[in-house]
Amino acid sequence: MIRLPGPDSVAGRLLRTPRAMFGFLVILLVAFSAGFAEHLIPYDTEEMDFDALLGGISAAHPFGTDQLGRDMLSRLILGARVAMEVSIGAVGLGVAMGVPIGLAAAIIGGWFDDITMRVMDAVVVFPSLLVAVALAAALGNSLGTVILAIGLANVPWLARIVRGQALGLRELDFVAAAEVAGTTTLRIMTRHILPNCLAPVIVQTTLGMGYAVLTEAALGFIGVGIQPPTPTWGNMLQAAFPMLEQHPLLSVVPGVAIFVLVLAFNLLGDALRDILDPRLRGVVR
Amino acid sequence: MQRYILRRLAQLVPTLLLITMMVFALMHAIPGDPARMMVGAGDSLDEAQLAVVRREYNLDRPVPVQYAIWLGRALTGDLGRSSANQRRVGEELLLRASVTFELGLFAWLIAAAIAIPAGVIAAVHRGRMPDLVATLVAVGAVAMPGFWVGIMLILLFGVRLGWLPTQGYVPLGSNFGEGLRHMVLPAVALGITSAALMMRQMRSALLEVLSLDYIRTARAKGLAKWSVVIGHALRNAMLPVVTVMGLEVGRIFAGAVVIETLFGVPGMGRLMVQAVFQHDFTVVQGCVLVMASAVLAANFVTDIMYTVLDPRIRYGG
Repeated sequence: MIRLPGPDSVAGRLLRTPRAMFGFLVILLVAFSAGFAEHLIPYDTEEMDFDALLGGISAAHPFGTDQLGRDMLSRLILGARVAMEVSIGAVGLGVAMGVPIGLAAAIIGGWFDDITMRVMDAVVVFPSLLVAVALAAALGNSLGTVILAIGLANVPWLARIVRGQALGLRELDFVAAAEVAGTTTLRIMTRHILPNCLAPVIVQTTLGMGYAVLTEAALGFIGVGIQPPTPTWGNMLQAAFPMLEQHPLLSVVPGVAIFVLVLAFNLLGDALRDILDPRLRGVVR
Repeated sequence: MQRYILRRLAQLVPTLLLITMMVFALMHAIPGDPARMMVGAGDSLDEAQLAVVRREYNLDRPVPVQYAIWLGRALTGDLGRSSANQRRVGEELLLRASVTFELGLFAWLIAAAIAIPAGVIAAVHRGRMPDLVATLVAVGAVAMPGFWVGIMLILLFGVRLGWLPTQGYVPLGSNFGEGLRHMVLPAVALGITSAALMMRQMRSALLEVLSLDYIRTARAKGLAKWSVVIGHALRNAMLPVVTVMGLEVGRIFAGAVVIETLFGVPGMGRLMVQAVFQHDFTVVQGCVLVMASAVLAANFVTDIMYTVLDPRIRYGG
């Protein structure tokens, strides 16, 4: 039997929050476009239509064409794939490193906690965009570098959140009970503390995905992100900028795409925060 | 108070050391021969010349020794020479940093000047038109890349209306009016995200304070609404806002990398992007070091401001 989400469950409350549903549906749409990009694009992204250079909105090209006559809609859809790859990759890396670091700092405590958190404080001082530009200089500009740079910037925030949560949980009776029962530290961490830390992590990752999309766009725009011919929303804006006076549509379309996707992540993240833990208002970025 | 400041200053030292280690490690994370990197990718050198470079930059010594030497020089302001034009990175940075600080300060002031009144008005008119408009604008602004806002500003005020210059920089010292005109669009683009985040914080902090008993008492005494908001509530509500304003310094520095490139402002950010394209790692390293130190300093000042505004914290932590 299929169990429907109850009215008081998280899913049930999300369903009744319009901004959450808007966010969820937009993300679903973008993820679907990214996943099935090859089957959805009306034109090859490198196909040049010399009869339609800098074309406006038309039935053949709903978002117009660029200076090489390439279809903007097709490039936008392939750009969505990069946006999703970067945001999932970067946030995934942040979780994979930040959550264990935060947990370990809280459980081991003492000098280990001091040193780890001091390192995290130092990392926070580097804005992610700065790290990304520097890493691009050092490692070259590829999808991997972009994900690594944005992901590293996520680590200290997640580590701090998880550490804070875990420190609070450790004092609670059910953890003490587990300790008395002879449960190993590792098991207490993974079975008792970790699941109860997840709410703020979910909120932070949702908001972090929007931030990753923004950072990728900025990197692409200054030319140190993922390079053409792979279309990304950032490098599309870079290519469009010299055409701004002549054909502003090229600069408007990718920007609106970024705006809508980031808005979706932010609205879903805000709604999740309000539902999962209203006390987190202002704590989570 | 003085002891507190001294203690916080002492706490900065290990963090600053860690930052320099990370910046130093960045150079050594680069795959390939650092000696070749130092002289620039384009130049072809034979082994004997490379050996000279290695000796000059101490690349033949163990890495911890290299770090110690580099740190010692960095402390005296010597950040090495650019491999692209052989200029001293320290001097070049000093010149460029002043431009970025000017732009950043301007952006930060614009953000605060919009955010604080907007946040206060939104909180006072909670749930009504001014609140809804301010909140909606803020939610939208946070979701837009600052540089894209910049592109749209160029399109509107530069291309269409022709009101403001869209490229370049005029020092405020040489021509104040022209300098200001050049600064408006980049500063707005750089500050808009921060403005939105500061406004949200101002609104929620003031709402929280306005619900407290002492505010009700002040209102019950018959004080005028705005005199209660400005005289009683605002000071206490400013605490979390000051924290956010301090944190925004980091965002503004990072944003400057993109905004300076977009508007052709010759600051540190643009220098860094150009250095990336020229594989000029000494310059990239210097830029990262200066920006990270500036963010650290901003966080420090925020902490101090916090204790000035809230005497309760002074004797704790």
